[in-house]
Amino acid sequence: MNSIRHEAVALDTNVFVFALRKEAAYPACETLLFVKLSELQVYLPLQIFVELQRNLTSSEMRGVLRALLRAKTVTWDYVPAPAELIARWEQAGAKKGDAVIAAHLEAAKIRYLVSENRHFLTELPASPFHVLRSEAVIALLK
Amino acid sequence: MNSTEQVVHVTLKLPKELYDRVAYAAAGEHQPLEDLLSVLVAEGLDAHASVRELLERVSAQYRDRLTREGKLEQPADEVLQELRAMREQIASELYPS
Repeated sequence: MNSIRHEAVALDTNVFVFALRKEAAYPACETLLFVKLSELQVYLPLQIFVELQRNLTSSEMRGVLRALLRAKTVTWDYVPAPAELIARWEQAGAKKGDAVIAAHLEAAKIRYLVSENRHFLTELPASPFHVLRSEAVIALLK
Repeated sequence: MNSTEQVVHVTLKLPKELYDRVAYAAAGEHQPLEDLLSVLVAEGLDAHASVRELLERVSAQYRDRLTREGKLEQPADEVLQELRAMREQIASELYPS
């Protein structure tokens, strides 16, 4: 799984939010974003972009986007997720929002989602991507 | 600009050509010239900042806002729950079925 250095990873909204809040229960989010960002190839799908916009002011959002430009690479994917893939993931048991994320990742062939949302693992048992906690990604980058 | 920030007034001399470019951009973005200049100075400084410095600044701004809104001490599980609810809402807006 050390290919994480050489492959794009999607960072879930909760990773950004916990990092910026400096959430004590999830300290690895801050380390991953503030310290390890330049080692990551980041993929940001439309759904997560809009979620960040809803959580942040325009000034905060600009700051995050400027920081993301310092990642090893960053891909902004503004294309809506394919409807047929969303429907398939919903049929597989995912809630609509998670189905959208899964569809984005599948369409873009992204194999890693960094998220602190444990529900992803239980909802999507046969997903084509790995859901990793920030802590695990930091360990893989060492 | 954050309304609680202190403001310092400065006099700036610019080459006419540079001034014209900024004025043209400000008009295009429908914002006062001095606001755009302030943004450009901040962005210029950010270009020299490290990732950590950039994100520390955003984090401080974000945490100040959450404090004002009484949300900074919100338990992490509650934050996760809110994010999940927001995800569902945005997905329904972007992909109405």
